[in-house]
This record gives sequence, C-alpha cells and structure tokens, in this order.
Amino acid sequence: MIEHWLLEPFQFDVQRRALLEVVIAGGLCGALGAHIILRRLGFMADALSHAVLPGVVIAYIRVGVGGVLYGALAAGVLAASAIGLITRNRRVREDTAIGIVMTGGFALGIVLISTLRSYATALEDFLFGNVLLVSPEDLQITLILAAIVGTVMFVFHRRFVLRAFDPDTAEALGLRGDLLDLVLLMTLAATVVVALRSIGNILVVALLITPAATARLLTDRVLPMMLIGAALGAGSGVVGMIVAYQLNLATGALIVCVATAIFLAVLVLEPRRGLVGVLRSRRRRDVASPTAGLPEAAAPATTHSH
Amino acid sequence: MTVATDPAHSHEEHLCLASEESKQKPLRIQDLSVGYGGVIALRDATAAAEPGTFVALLGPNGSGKSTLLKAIVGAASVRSGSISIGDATTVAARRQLIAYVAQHESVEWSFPITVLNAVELGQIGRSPWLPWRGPGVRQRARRALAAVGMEDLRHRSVGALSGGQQQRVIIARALMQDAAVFLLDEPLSGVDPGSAQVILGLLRRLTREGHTVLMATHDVDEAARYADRVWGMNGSIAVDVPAGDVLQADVMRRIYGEHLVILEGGVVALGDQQR
Repeated sequence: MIEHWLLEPFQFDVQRRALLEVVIAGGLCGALGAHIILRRLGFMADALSHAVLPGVVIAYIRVGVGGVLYGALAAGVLAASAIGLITRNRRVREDTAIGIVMTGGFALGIVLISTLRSYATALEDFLFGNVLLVSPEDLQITLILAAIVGTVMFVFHRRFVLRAFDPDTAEALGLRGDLLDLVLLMTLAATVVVALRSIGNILVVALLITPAATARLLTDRVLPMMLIGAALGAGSGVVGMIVAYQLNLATGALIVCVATAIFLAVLVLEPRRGLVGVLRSRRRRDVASPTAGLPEAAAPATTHSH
Repeated sequence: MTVATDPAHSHEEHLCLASEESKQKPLRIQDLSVGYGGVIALRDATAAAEPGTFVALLGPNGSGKSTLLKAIVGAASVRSGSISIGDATTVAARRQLIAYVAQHESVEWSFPITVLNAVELGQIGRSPWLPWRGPGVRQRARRALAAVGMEDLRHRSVGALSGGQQQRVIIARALMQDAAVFLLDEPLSGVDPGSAQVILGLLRRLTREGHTVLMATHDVDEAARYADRVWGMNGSIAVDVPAGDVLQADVMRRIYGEHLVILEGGVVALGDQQR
C-alpha cells in the first residue's frame, strides 16, 4: 500500500525523467551551495537565478524548449560578469550591483514573457518550474552540465576553500580572488540552469542555500558539508515530488518546503548546537564548566587596523 | 619533497625545507611608492634586510606597515620603485620565496576546517592545479604544527581555538611554503602571552636558520627585545636602526611624531589610537 503510494508518481517515462532531473538538480545545488554559503554569496546566488530569466525567455522564443538551457547559461555568464564589472567602479558597492542586475534582469524577463500569446501558462512554467516538461534532450543537457559543474568543483576545491577561509593569504599565494569568484559564479549559473526546470526561477536559490545550510549545522568540515548538502538537496527533491503528486500540490514549491522543514528540524533538534541541545547543556552547565559546548566563544574581539 | 640535509646543523631539525642557497637572499626595497585608488599609502621607501635578519616594522596606524608587506607579496599596487629578493624582482618570482601571514581578523575563523587541513593549504602556492593534497604534505603539515606546539590539536576545528592558537595555526601554514622571507602582519595582536612566546621563539629560530623575517607590530617593547632591526614607519620607512636603539627619544619621535608621549623617568609611551 505505502509502496504503491511512494512509487506511483514514477510509473511513466516522463515521471522517471522528472525524478532523475530533480535528483541531479538537488544534489548539484546542495554540493555547490556549500561553497556559495562559505564564500557568503547567498545574495549573489539569488540575484543570478533571477537574472538568467531574459536568456531563458529569448531562447524559448527563438529556438523553442530545446534552447532554454543554453539561453539561461549565456544570460547567467553575462549577469555574473556584469555584476563583477559594475563592482569595479568603486562608487557602486557589491550589494548595490547585485540588486540592480537581479531586478533588471528579472523585469526584462517578465517583459519578454508578456510578448508571448500563452502569457499566463508560460509565466507559471518559467517562474515556478514544471518538472514534467523535462524532455530527453533536456535531461541530456542536464547531465552534461552536471559533469562540468562537478569537474570544476573537484579541480578548484582547494582554491575555493583557501579563498573563502583566508582571502589575503590566497592573494599572497598568487590566487586571483576575482577570477576564482567568477569561476564559482559561472558554475553557479550552470547549476541554476539545471535546477530551473524542477524548481523554477523564483525558488531555485532555496535549493542552493537551504540544504547546504542544514549540512553546515551537522558538520564542521567542507567535504562532508558538500556531501550532506547534496544528499539533502536530492532527498528534498524526491520527497517533494512524491507528496506533490499524491496531494496534487505545486511540485517546486513543495520541494523547497521539504528542504526548509528539514533545516528547521535540524536547527532545533541537532544534539550539540541545536536549540534543544543548547538549552539542555545550559541547564547542565550551571553546575559544570562555564565554557563547555560553546566553541564560538573562543573567537577573540579584535579591532581592525592597517 | 626532500629534507635539506646539512651536516653542520644535523643536531637541530630545520623548521623549513628550503635549501641553504635559497635562503641566502637579501630583501631590497628601493624608492617604493604604493597606493590604493587615488591615495598614496607609502612614499619613497628605501631599506634592505640581509638574510637572517629579524626586522620589526613599527609605527602608528596608517603608517604603511601593512601596505609595505602587501606590496612585497604583490597584493598592493606598486606605483614606482622596486622590490627584490635576491635576483627575484617580479611579483611571480618573489611569491615563490615569501610566506605571508595576514592580519588575524582578515581570516574567516568560523570556516569549517580542521587545524591540519588549514595548515596543508600552505602548499597550494606550489601546486595550485593539483586538486588534492600532494605527496608528503600531511607529514610536513604535522611537523609544522609540532614546531608551534599544536600537533595535538590537529583534528580540532579552527573556530574552536583561542586567538593565540589560531595564530599559531596560520604561522604553521606559512612554514609549509619553503620561504626565504617571512612577512607577518601583527601576528601577536590579541594573542595570549604563551602563544606569543612560542611565535617569537619560532621567528628567532627561523632567522638563525638564515630566513629573513619582517613583522609588523604595535609593541615597541616587543620590537626592542626580539628584533635585530627596527624599520620605523611613518608614511615611508623613516628610520632603519638596530633594535636596541629604538627606545631612544629621537628615534621614537621620528617614528611617532605627535603621537609620542614621554613620561617621567624616560619611560616612553604612545598616544596610541589602537587599543
């Protein structure tokens, strides 16, 4: 009975493709999300995911569904470069540049969608995703992009880590911080493209941030954080798909709800640093050592200087 | 990765793996001006340090200590003048000979990384295209950690350490770089006395082995006690004196200008805005 409930959503080819798409997108987002979070690029990720919309729509109009992923990739690369270039002007701060490119790109995308005859349906598919529209060709592109993103993450891993951990030393060792950031953002753009189908434009950033943030609560190491993030991203996708199918709810949004619920559960229940654990150890600490269980307290307060 | 074998020093294991000739490189700074955007942070600085010299960079905030270190390592843009280490004059060539320890607060200490992994990152300049840790790197990282007395804590997360322990970790990472010249930007700021002793002892040992050490500091007393020479900074390199002379009033006045306060009994204090 329960088996039927769980497997029923995957009885047709189109559904199995959707499942594979969701697993790849969730896994990729969860792993890359670790680097995004550690480099504090969450806002940038949000911006890029919205800024790819015009590329998606132009490709859809010109080439059709098959061209959408290429259009998004081109727009993502363009938007990431635009943010980088705008920030070079010292009078424009990075968050300002991100805000401008994000909203400008998103608005342009919606204007382009409004030129379509099937405005309402198209808008919904773009903004919220429709994983059942994944064609075999789409899936092929997804696999290629996943391979590229995976390779980049493997080759650049140590440099991403040093860049985020100790940027000044990275620079002193000859690593170009701006180029490394650009590589990370291009990878991000490609990942957003992969996730666009299943989650849609508006919520795609949730799949990048939330599973990786949950993983950060569970581990103090980068690699395990990436693996746990990937597992949580893929898992949220599968659970979200099943529940959405059985209860006839919006798939993309439900996937994000599942990921968020897992994050909240871990935040509260995690034994060492979760709310429950902290409250319990605080009660215990009243009789024991005053610093146990509080590693964050070790960071010294130092003043900035040149 | 082979250990430099030097029979004359075989009784004491060397801290760094740099070969003897690679260490014998004088650092020369000639008419150096450095700027950020429209601001000149360092003007017409000239000085030299022979191999095996411990130089303390002393001066008030904004006097150019950090800027000088960043210029040497190629992280600040040189407007004019030259920097050379031996016959290495380009940034790329110099970087191969330098280990740089950034200011404590520029490091993201909440980053999820162990002490050992953090130290192993010191090898990245040697092989940036290698996705994984190279051969022998783990052993060298453990030796570097042992040199700063942190080997037992190698599996801890860096965020769980005290400020002094964290500083010892990034100095251990600098030891991984086979460098001739060590540049340290206020390595003792916010560091407990025990860790400070370990770090200063290590820096002295490095200079004994022929390395050149440049350390930016706010602490005049520390500079006088541990360094060989003091470069007094004041928008340029204002004085270059033996460390023993730094407490003389005229030397102090040339470094600190109006920041200087001379108390009764010849005790020198600073009108220091820092702390």
